[in-house]
Amino acid sequence: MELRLPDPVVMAIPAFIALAVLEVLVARWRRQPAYELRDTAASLTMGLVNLVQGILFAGVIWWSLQAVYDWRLFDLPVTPWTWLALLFAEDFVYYWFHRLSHEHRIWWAAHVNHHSSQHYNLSTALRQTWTGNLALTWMLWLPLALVGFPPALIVFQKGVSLVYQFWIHTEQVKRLPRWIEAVFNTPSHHRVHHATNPRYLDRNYAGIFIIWDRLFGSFAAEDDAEPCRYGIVKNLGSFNPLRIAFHEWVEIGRDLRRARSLREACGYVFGPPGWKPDGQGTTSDELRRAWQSAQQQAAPAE
Amino acid sequence: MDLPINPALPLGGIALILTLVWLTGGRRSLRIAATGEAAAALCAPEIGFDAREIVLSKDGQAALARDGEGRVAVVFVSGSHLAARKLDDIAAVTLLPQGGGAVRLEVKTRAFTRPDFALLLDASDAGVWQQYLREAA
Repeated sequence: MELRLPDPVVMAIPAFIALAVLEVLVARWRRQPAYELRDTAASLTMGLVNLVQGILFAGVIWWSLQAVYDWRLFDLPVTPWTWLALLFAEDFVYYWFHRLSHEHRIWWAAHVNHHSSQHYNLSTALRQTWTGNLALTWMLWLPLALVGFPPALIVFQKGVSLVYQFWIHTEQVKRLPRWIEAVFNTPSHHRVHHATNPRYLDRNYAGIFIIWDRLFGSFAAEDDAEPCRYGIVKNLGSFNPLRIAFHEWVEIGRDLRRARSLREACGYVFGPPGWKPDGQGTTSDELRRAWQSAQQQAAPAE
Repeated sequence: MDLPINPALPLGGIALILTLVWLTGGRRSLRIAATGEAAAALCAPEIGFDAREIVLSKDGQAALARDGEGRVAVVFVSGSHLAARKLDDIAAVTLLPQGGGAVRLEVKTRAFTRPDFALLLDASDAGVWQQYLREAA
């Protein structure tokens, strides 16, 4: 019998709208400038087009998952235990997808738009990629089908993860109980992820569980003494969705035109964002080193 | 063909949220009121620009800064936030006289997302900063 599951993202749209409305009102009540009209319009447009391209791409991804599933190593039954295993396995895949999306420019080009708002609110959660499927990031989920997880369950869990990550894009929730902060991705952890402060750059890649960041050394806790500065290192200054969606691809094209060797071309495409051949770039590691060096120099004077 | 979603739902939701943001004051735009604000935006570690000279546009929408090595950076209003960047891709600098002794200094860059900046300056400042920008180009 064919397994049929609903699309959690489509099901969650009314909740997305209701929570965003609530956040706008709460922010207003607290007199916080959480929302800006053009920024919100850009984020929501990005989300809408992402929804449409997701529907258009669904067939390709479904066919690929089925093709791999035909070669599966195990026959995993559809039981709560299988779903529980997939909850962790899919989240592990998400962690590495997200980390690769930050550490390699070709995938950063598809993901950067999600970070391009200088605001951090529930509309930012919807500022989703238009080019991620073209960048083939979905192929990272194919091994789950090879293991034997049913494709319908994989697609369902991928949607559950996306829905989970919606509510953590808020400044209205400060900290949750310690055990939740220890295990789950929370608004606090994800604020760090969206910050450009050097100490926070490229940290907290988690989807649902923060355990992967703690395990693989990419965790940073939010420090109340250092408020997050949201956005990207070189903020766009544009609310045009086309520029938001394609700016890094355009920049890659420009860099490729000026590349003087195959090594440089590969560096511009597959190196970390901000990489330059002369080592004078603005990668996250370079910015963090410069910041740490400045901190150490400032320390004796204090 | 059955759509997986009724388009009225996300479109209506977007309209509702935007209306609410508009009604709750989301149209605001910032002004750079003092050189200190521009300097603060530039000295964030991820920008790392040590401004020695700063000039503010009379409309408060942008500022130019120059460091000790002759590099130039711009700070500009982006909605309700400031954005700052080093100007390492200047394509053209032009001066356009305005009324009342002011001059509009236009800077065109090769950036894709925000290629143009304009500042309203006094004529004396405009000439100096045009020269700085040409040297940095």
